[in-house]
Amino acid sequence: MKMKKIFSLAMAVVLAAGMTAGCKQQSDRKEEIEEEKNISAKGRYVEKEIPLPETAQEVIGIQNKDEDLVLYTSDDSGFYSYTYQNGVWADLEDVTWMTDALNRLGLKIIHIYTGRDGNVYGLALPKEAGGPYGQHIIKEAEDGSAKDCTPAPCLEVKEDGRTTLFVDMAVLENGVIGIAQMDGIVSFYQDDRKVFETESISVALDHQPLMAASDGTAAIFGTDGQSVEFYDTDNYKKENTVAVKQDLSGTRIIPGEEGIWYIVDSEGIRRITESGSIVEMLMEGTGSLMSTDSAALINFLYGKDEVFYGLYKVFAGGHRLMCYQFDEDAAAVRNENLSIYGLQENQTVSQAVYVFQSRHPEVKVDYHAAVTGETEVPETDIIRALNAELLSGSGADVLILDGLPAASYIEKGILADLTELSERLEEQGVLMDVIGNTAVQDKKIYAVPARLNVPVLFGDEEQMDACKDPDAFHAYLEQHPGECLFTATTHEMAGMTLFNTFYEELKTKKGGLDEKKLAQFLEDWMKLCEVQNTRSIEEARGLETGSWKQMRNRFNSGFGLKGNQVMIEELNGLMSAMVPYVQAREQGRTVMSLKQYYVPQVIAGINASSKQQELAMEFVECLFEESVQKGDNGDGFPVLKSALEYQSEYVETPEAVEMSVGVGSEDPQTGEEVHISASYPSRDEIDRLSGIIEGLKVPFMMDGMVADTVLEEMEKCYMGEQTAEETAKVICQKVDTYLAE
Amino acid sequence: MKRKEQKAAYLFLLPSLAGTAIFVLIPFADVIRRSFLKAVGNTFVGFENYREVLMNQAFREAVLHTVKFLAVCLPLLLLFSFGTALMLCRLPAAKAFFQTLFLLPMAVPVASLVVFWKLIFHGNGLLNEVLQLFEFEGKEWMSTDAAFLILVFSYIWKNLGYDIVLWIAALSGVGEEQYEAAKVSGAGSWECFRYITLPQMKAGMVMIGVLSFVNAFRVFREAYLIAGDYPHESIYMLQHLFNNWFTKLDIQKMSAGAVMMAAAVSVLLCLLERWNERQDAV
Repeated sequence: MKMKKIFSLAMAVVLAAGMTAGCKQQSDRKEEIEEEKNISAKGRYVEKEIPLPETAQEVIGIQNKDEDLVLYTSDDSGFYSYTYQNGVWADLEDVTWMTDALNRLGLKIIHIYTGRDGNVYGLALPKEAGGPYGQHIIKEAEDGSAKDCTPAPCLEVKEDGRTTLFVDMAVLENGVIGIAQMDGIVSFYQDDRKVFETESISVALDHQPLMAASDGTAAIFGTDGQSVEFYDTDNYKKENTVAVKQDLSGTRIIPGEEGIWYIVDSEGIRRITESGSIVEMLMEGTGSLMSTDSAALINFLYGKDEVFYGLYKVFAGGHRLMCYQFDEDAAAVRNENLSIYGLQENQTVSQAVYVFQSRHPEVKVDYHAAVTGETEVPETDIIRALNAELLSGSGADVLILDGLPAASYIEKGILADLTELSERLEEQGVLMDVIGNTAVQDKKIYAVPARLNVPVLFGDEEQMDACKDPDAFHAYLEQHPGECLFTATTHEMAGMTLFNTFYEELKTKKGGLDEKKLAQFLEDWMKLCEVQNTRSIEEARGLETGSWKQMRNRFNSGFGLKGNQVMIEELNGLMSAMVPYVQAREQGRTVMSLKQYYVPQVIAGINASSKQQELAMEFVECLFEESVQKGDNGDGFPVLKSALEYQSEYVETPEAVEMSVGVGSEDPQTGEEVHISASYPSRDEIDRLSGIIEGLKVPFMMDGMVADTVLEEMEKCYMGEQTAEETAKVICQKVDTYLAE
Repeated sequence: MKRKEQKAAYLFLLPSLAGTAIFVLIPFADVIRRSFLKAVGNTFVGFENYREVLMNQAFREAVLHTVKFLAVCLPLLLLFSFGTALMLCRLPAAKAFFQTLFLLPMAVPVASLVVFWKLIFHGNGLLNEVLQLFEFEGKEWMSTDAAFLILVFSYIWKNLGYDIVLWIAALSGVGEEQYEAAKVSGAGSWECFRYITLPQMKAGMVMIGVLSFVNAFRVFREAYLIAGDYPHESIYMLQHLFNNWFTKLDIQKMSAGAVMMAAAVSVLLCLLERWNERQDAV
């Protein structure tokens, strides 16, 4: 027994000693980490912009020539090139063969490829209708003129009346042309003879990079769309397949030196080897132009010593040339982090991330959009998960509140006070009626919308009056039985647009819904659906219930393109104004604001628990930067006055003048096909629209629960499962319970 | 020796006690703490959250519907399951078969059960189709007061088998010799049931009642999956409210509500236990 006690005691001493020793090691490790932090490893890839020559007009592409970067441009008179030497652009030179292709062959080069044989190849389209048919590949002939080297089989007109559509190409060192076709097959042509073709891979876009060539090797994306296959160009034998294990649509591959290849997309630049299997990240895309949705990469080149050049087309207008280079002095690991959270990916936020990142390269920005195409988790579950984070004092530093319970966050003190920031924004010229009316509590501003949608209406005065309130709507139906109020529409579009329009009038003083008024409205809506013949329209067009939610709009009275009826639309940018303005012009009507409503978009708030308050504030300010606000991304109009003014100038630029959209629809009454071709509204119209935007004062912020309940119950009413009275009762009961909570 | 046995008992209890502490007791202690604080941060607000919850109209309604559901369901379930168990005891040959049959609903996954209910009670569902055959007018059953009855039926259907098994176990505890002795003394079936079976079912009834009570709270899954966050008011229960409060970040109200509910349930169970002890003493 005594021995046992002594043994136990000895064991206890050993255990205690071991634990103490562990503590010592732990504290040593902590010191080491601290030291490491102080020293902090240096060196990482950084993005730097190379300003394009001021005289450059339409940019075609870039090429590496004798270790110099060459930029190809065009204007009305022809094609030119600039060479970048020692940090400056040398004077422009004529590219006679490209100009010759345009003038003599009638083919306009729209994109360039650098062949491994040392030539530059241009992908060209007919200058005008009636010229040579289909896509062509042009190169410089020995005499300096343009030579069409399109393989003859590619110019054969097929049964559908088209020639082969090229989505990508590469030229091998022996002059063999590899062409990736729209059907996903990559074919190699020696002169006009097909020497090899691959199996078909998935192609979704008319310009989709999926191949490249180095000396002796061709790299083509695999049939699974997630791997790269390497072929020996002597015998077209597949040598190796490297699994990248991610969707490669939208990814580029470019050759480096000594069997090394680079794959480039929004994730960043990664390195693979022909004979290897590992994918190594060279530079993360976050915060660089390649990660934003506001610009498209049109050329990516490998320079020398792992220096890269990327040429981007910016959707807001113009091009940008970026250089990616290893910076030995930049901290390898960015110790500061700024996290941004939103339900949906948003281009304005992406642009602001880019602006912020260029100002703070030392900060790692993590922009997380919870709902992506692959997400199958319901939004309510996503919000619950976010709430759990916020309650525990964590969560992202910046919250993009679109679709999130902003009012609840303000009430619970989740969001930081942004009143001071708002004052600064007002000085910069941001619309204060918008900023100051959206997310306010006790005269303090807790969130700021960086964009806004504008609900507008136009039409006959009597019909517009019917959209004033539920009583006027009822009276109109009584006076004009059998007369359509809207153009071709669905029961969801008509019902939800009218409900949203009348929401304030249907509300009680306590904030609930007036059951009697709602029942009357639902009855009138059912009558309207009958008059509008929505059932047969939906049947004929194969429209399924649920399309309203997918549209993510609050106001859209119909899809009919012609007619004298009233139209209610929610404009979310210049592009969205094109068709409605043409319709208004054709009707001889003026586009007007709907009850001075604006729908706040890109509503940014700062997590009160964030330890990066200052950085978060700076980021929110970036959302209101002129360069960000000027973009027309379809996520709302700018709220910065100077950006609004710019819109009037923009519609007169050559780029905007050339821009047009075409929409087509079948008239449900006559069965006639109606087409509308629309360009941007005129400067005067945009000036008037800007005036409307500057005068907007009333935020339309429908609670998601109310909207979902109304939509769900209206559907049951429409399907005849319950009467209008029963529907109104159910809606009111649910909304009352919701409000009582 | 006794102390040693006690130590051994505690040692055996330790793992489950640790699990309960980590996953139930400590989180519940945090819930109690949060019920005295603001939703976010550590600002102490005293009983303000409790006052707010008690004044909350939705809470009152949810309590009312939950109590109503329990008051209707529990007696019905206990009665039906007891009656069925008694009948099964008289059919020794078919007992095993029926026992399995009644237990089957417990094996049906809730998700498929919900789809089945929807198929039946939807506006264009099976029930309305049948009613139309007899020229009755159908309706969206889950949006009417019928939703309550549907939920009651669903609860009883799902839990009947489980309770039957428990009752059969309790009934088999009654010695056969007692019935034989009573019959020799001239007692009929009713007297045997009234004076032998029923008095010995008290302990079993408390246990089965408590288990059925706990299971009744699980019916929220069905109610939520059939009718969502905001069902017809008759089936809007405390769990709906707590769920919605969490989505709205009303964690303080949720905590206060949960503490009050736990307290009420504890008091109820304590009273039941005392009554049971008193019955045993008698």
